[in-house]
Amino acid sequence: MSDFKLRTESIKDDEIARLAMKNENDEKIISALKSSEPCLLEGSRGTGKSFIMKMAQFDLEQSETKTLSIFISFNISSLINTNDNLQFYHWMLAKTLRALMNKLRKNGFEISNYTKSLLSNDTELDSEKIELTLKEIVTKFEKSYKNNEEIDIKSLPDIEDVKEAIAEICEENSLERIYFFFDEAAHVFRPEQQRQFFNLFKDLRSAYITCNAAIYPGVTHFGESFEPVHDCSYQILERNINDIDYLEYFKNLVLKQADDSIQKSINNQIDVFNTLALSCGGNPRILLKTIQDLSKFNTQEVNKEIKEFYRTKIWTEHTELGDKYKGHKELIDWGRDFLENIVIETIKENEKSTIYFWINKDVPEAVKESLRLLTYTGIIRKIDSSIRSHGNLGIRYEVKYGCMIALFSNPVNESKSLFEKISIRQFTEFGKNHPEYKKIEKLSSYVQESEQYKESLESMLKKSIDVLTLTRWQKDKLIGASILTIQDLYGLEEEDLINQIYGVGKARARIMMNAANAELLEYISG
Amino acid sequence: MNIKEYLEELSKQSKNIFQDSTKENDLRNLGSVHHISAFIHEFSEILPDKYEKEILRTVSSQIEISLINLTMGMYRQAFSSIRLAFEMGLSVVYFSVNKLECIEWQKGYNDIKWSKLIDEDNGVLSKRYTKAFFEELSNEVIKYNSNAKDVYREMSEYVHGNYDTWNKSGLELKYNEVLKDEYFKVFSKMSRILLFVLCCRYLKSIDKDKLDEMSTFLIEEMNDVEEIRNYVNKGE
Repeated sequence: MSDFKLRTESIKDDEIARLAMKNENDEKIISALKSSEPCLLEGSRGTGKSFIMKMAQFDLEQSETKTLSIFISFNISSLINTNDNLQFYHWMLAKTLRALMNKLRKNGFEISNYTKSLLSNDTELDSEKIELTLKEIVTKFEKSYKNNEEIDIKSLPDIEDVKEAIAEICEENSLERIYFFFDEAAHVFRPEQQRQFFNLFKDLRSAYITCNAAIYPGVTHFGESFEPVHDCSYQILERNINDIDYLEYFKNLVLKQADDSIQKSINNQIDVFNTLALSCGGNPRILLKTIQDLSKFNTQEVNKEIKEFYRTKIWTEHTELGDKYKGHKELIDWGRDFLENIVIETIKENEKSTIYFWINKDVPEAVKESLRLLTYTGIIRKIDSSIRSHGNLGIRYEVKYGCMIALFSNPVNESKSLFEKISIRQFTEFGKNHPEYKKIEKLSSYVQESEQYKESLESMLKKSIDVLTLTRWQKDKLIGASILTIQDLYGLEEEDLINQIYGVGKARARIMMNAANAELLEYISG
Repeated sequence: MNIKEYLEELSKQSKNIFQDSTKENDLRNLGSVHHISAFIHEFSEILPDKYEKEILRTVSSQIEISLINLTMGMYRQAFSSIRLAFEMGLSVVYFSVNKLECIEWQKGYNDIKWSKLIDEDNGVLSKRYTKAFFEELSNEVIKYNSNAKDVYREMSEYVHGNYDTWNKSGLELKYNEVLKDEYFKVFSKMSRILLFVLCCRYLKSIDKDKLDEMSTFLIEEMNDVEEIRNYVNKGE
């Protein structure tokens, strides 16, 4: 089938406008990205975050207002290995400023020293002191983390120097503003590094700078000084299969990339296409991939592809996450088993329920984390939290349509009736306690064995229980029972707490264990 | 009017063309040509072989010279300079594995032969090269070989003075927007092939720190080539 562009990186900048598709929500996001307010864009893998940022960049470059927009992705290969937060902060800042210098030169605002000397020996030409200042700043930062020498922090420029240099560049070149687009910013970082990233994101705010960043749902640590609600405009990129323009939107999106024969097939067999479009659950990359993998566009082949992709391939991608986030491997595998064998099967058996399920807000921390990881891959989508059911509060999720329709023997034929039955009010419920949760109760047994891990794990376990987010009363109760460190608490189970501490029942035991597990989960995120 | 006055008049005319060629909406295009030239110069710095380094610096300088020709209204000369830059750029890679021919060329015993550079089996855009230096690019290289021939033909039309190009440029020294835009288009095609060839030949032999320094440029310019993107991003 057609050779589609599945990733934004594979699309040349001059093709962005031709392939662009925008609905009302996309327009709203683009406008937020182009505004002077910083913006965080949340979306699962493949939902089109990078593409929408590129569309915003394209608009900015076409606009009458003179601005400069810079795309930055922190590549894994150059990621520095340091536990020094300040050093890491400087590394990010140097990378960001290097990208700015690159763009300044590309747009004709700066001239290379090397080539200047090629045509003239007059070194006086180097009088553009602003660019030199920026270069000096970058060089100083780079030296601070490249060589293992002790560096006097006071000798390094601070963020105000950087902002001042940028302000001067803007004034000199009549630039209204500089936009930084951090693509998939936080996901290559450890939690502490993510916090540093959001510190930088906040620190860079000025009358001349706007920062935008794309992030994944559920796996981002903002840190205490950054509050997404107050410090930026928070946009969510998702496409709801119930939206009135959903099918038309995806049809046009595919037609823009498809060759004539596919275009014809789609127009002639619209029900077949609609089944594929609904199956992807709002994820353009998955839709394009499933069409690309078809040997022929007909009911039989589409049925085969839906079964293959949504029963097997989609899970392979999720399982592979375990290689990337090694510390999370067991949670990833458990999440898959829980969703595939328990949630989907239970929804299937529940006549009223279609693609939605609800889970009690007080489930163990490891369960929440497993579900968060499933939202990262986009197999499930968090619809809303604090939804009441039978008196309890919980979170409502949507299972990707394709994962449900793939269970039928003829997905294309059954899709219409499944879609008509869909109602967000009907969901299958999972309470506070489920026998499956027991399987991941003891998180520490999953922790990596390497020396490096052990060392940092040990220092984390030695921390006093005072660092946990518990009330004073709860902490005092633990201390009263001689549970002084996270390690002491971690060796126990909920039942032990209930038996050992007067006044602690099931609910409090869960809260206490969840607090300890949250610490451990953060550690294994690295 | 004596010869000096006559040349002064031409110089004035060129200055007017310069004003027309460097208006606000052209600065980005002019900047991006300079940006590529500057990168090629930086790239030359990391090559260990002094001859390869020297030739690549000439590539960079020819691009700069094409820019000044362009802004002065000497379009044919601008095309000629970028064609030379292109030939020299591919020659660096060719000479890097054919040292004897490199020395002979420097001593004036033989010429650079375009047909040898672009040979589908043994040239710098052949599977033989990708297999040796960057195997993952083997599927892409055929396309780049064909693009290289096309763009070389386009540039040669101006150098050889095909009749159609005289129609476009005329004999007068005057500002020509069509030719200016044509130059940017041809330059963009040519520079992409040049960068591809350099990446293919040298990227895997560059040490991590240097690669890191170049990564910002490469990610911006060559990101759509998945194999290069993956190598720069993940080192694989």
